[in-house]
Amino acid sequence: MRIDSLTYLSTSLVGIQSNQNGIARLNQQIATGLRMQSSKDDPISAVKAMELSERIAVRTQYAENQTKGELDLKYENVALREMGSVLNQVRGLLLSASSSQTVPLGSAYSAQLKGAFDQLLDLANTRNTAGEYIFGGTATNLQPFANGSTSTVPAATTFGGAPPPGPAVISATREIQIGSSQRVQVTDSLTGALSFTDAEAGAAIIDAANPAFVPATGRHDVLQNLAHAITTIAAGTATDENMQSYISIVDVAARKLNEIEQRVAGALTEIKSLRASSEAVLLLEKNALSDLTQVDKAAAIVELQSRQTSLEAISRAYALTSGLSLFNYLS
Amino acid sequence: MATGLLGVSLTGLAAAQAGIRTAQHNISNINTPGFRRQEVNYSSLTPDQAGASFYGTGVGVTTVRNLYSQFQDSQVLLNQAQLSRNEALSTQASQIDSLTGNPNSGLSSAMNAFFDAAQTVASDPASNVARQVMLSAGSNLVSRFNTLATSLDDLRKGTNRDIATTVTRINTLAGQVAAMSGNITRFESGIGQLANDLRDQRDQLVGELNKLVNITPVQQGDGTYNLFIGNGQPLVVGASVTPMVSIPDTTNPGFDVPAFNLAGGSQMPLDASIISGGKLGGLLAARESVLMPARADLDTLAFELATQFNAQHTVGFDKSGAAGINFFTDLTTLATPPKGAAFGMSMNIAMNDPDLIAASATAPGSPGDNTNALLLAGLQTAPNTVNGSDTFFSFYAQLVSRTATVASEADIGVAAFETLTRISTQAQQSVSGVNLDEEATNLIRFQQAYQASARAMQIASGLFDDLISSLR
Repeated sequence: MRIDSLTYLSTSLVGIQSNQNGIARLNQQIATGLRMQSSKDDPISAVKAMELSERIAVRTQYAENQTKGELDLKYENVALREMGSVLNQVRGLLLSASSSQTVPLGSAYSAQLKGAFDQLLDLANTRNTAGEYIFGGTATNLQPFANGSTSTVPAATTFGGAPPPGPAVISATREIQIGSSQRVQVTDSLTGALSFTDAEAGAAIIDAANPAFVPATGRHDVLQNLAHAITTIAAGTATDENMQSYISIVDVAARKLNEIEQRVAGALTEIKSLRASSEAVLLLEKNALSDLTQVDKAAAIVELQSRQTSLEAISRAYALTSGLSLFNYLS
Repeated sequence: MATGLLGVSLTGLAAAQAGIRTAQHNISNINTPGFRRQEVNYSSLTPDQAGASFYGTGVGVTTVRNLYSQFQDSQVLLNQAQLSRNEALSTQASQIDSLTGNPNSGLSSAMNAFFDAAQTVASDPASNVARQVMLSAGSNLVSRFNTLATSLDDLRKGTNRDIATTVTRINTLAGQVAAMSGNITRFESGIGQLANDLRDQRDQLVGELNKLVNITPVQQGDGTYNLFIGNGQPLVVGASVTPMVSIPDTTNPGFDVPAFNLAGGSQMPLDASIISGGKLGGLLAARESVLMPARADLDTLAFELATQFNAQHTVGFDKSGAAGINFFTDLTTLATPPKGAAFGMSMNIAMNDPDLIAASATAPGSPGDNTNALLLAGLQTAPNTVNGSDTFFSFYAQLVSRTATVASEADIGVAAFETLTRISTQAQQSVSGVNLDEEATNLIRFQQAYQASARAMQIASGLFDDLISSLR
């Protein structure tokens, strides 16, 4: 085929340009570490990478929630365990004390019980590092449990400023999202443990502190009963029936607390097992994302080398052929 | 007979000179865009009859013609128009692609950050820090929407400007083509020969014009040269040009469209269905396949996100137990489709206190309630939030995907038509291009022909001398 001089001279240019483009692109890929400089370089992978990034972001957030939930639950667990041991101590004291002991001994028991009472109330009003009452239900800014009267013996304990069970906000619990369709309860209500009906207790209990107790509607108030015990034991007026009542109420409270503790342990296990699986998936997704977006440096460097060689070859070919002209040989 | 001897050689000298001159012309114009190599057509002159024989009287120049293939020329025009179209389309689509797909300027990271913040409020509803972060993430999301909408609007204005300048350039070139056609007709009718160089220049102008808008040149039998664009709309007919203007597009407010200014004052809009090639075709295609849908989708997304978030936010209660207010400004006042939603999206000005975030679902005294915050955060992954089938994110991913696909196709188109244009140009140049070595051999050939004719003339002259000296 006939070829014109401009085409002849510029043939090498196409190769030079395409190799230069390729080298510039490879340089950019190596410098940024990214395979795609914009979505149009590979629309399908780019969108897939975007979707993966979103999933990773959501999953990372769930992982943060898991950590947060775990912290909340552990905090609660500590408080519950403390309360359990206080109740245990109270039970021991009540068992050792008898209705017929001397007043000085009774006072000693009573003083110890008073300490336990304060500790229990304090634990029920535990605050977390942010200053929120962890057993405050959703009213985390208000002290949930208080001694209802200025004297030791409360007329009734107040739950959120009202007689047990108090307003609904006190017994509300909070769930947080720890997976795409999984939530976990991270707070518990003490309402059911610190006060309960006969039905909730599973037995008819005599209420020493509350003689007007109506089994159908009334609630046994653990703190109120404890305060009652402190007074009667100190005064030596506690009857056997009273002692029996105190112990059964403490027993039910301990059982209820234990139930909550078990739930917390269950929730912690749930988070733990979910964390293991979601970390595995997260790692998988991060790897997939990196496969999609990161440049294969070894392959890029090999390609760079080959492009450089071919660019040199084309340049050399151009230098050799461009000097060829029939005019050079005519004289 | 003797004068005949000299005369025959003289025609040879003249013919060789014509050949050398043409070779020089070809060599001189090797870098002239649009130049087609020329060659001299020779034929032997009418013979003299002497007795029973015809004696040749030498050589004459029939014509100087340029070499070209109409088929190859039209292939170059077709490919070049598509190359220019894809280049313009690629430039525009790539800009939108890098705006929407880039993690820094795109929406995906801002949306993720916003819903992350909502999720943090849900897991720690009483925390003021978490609430403050959510407010900041909200205003960051809003400003990302605004910036993106502004950038797309800048592109709209840029496209309008591009259309206007392209139309002006088309008018200039079309005018030059018409004027050149007039010159060609005058020259050619005077001497009855083709004005090769003027035709080359005109075709070069048509080539330039074709880069702006795809052109079909038609040479009519009577010598009138016409240019048609699109589906046969006449741009140049002989010496008359239909001027083009850029006018507001009535079907797409805010966008301009090229149009013919017809005689009588009416205007005929030329949209993408008519103009399918050249830079103008690319600009119109980019506008319709990328810019307009991107703007509409961005508005839909801003509208749906703000409206649905507000709807959920207003059913909740803030930290103090008061009913939730709109988180973003209310966009439901916009007409359907919600034009300008992305541009007009903003945080509710009253939403200036982190305590106002309605994380709670119960009215009084529940700062620790996160029920509504969970639902707010859940909007991120809730299906069917947009168009009944998409999450906010998947809707946005579709926008990015569509833009990236158009940009990628345009890039592939550029590469393909660069190759096709190069190949067809090479094929065209294999007929019309100048080869210096060929011209060198031509020069030698004509030089030798000249030398031979001169030698023949010398012999004829010698014959005269011999005759005259014998008579002395």
